[in-house]
Amino acid sequence: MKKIIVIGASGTIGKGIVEQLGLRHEVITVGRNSGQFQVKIEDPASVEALFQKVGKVDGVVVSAGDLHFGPLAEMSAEQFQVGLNSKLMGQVNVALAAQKYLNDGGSITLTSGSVSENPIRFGANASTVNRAVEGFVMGAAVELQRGLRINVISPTLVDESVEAYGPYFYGMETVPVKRVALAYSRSVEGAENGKTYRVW
Amino acid sequence: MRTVLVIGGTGTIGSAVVQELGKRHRVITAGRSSGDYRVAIEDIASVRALFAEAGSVDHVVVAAGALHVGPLEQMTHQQFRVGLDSKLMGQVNVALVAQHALNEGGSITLTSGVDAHNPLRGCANTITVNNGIEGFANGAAVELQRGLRINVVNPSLLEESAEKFESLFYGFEPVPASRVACVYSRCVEGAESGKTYCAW
Repeated sequence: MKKIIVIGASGTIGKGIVEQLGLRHEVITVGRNSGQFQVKIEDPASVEALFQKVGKVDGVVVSAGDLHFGPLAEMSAEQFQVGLNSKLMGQVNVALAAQKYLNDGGSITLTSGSVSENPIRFGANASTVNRAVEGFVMGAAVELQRGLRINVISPTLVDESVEAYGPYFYGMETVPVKRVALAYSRSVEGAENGKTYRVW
Repeated sequence: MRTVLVIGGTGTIGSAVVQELGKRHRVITAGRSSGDYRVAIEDIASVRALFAEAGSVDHVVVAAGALHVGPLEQMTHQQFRVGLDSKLMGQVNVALVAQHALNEGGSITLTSGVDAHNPLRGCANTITVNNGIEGFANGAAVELQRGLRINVVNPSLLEESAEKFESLFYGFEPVPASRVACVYSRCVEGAESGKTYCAW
């Protein structure tokens, strides 16, 4: 049994991850306003404080971070910064801290999204950030010490979010959260490093 | 003959691009401290001022932007922000402004780098940023109006810079800047959009 932190545990995908990993491991739930511990991933001090409180763990999973969706023609630099500061830098903040707090052989699992490879209208910020997260994982993987691994899950739209985001994704087949959660299990419990697991 | 604005026009790549495109076009250059115009791409107001000064422009090429290179284990949030704020957000700033400033049928050409697909030690920041740029072009291409196109050139280590960066790139085959400049010409003078052209 491993000790695994799930950041974004109360989200649609996060709940699925907690359920899947909870079958075999001790899961610590973390969120901005919910869960056993609170964190703002955008703030490195808040991330550091989280690990100070929780102590050594075997796995860190992040399924959190904001993006800006909107037409490119009207996009401002400030709107574009939303994704850079939150979903990109937020996840990087977690990985930079986690490399110190994970037990030997532990893992970091981040989240991108299918828009990184399948562009949609209003998705320029998401395409940038998701691809960048995948790049970070590829780059960090060759440098992690002590047998640590890092991977990223790229889910497409999940069945459970069709009502909220369906119009952005017409024509794309959706997947159940349960299937997405299995990819997180592969990342946490598997052997690979530096990989993007696509779920679509 | 069209007007091409080359940002970073006095750098190693930029000057080769100026030479190549200058054979057939009116080329104007901009840079932080050199070229026909001054610009700090990290500041969108400075980018707006550049386009206002430069007047009618058909194509813009960006071969500029700072990155942080250093070991992941010691990387700080502030160091990671260097690449996000400069090479990534800087190029995005240029694209966000250029989509309105360029003449119809024009193009935007950005620059990533070989490590986006071939991770190197010490390059977690550069790999993140370079992938982000490629993702941005992919996402922005589906939304650009007025027949505008956007592409990315992904150059390998240049022969001209080989001595300076050799220790990062052992085993990589350097390419001459003149060959990389040909790839920029394909972006500016070709028909495709949303594509990453690898010059390696």
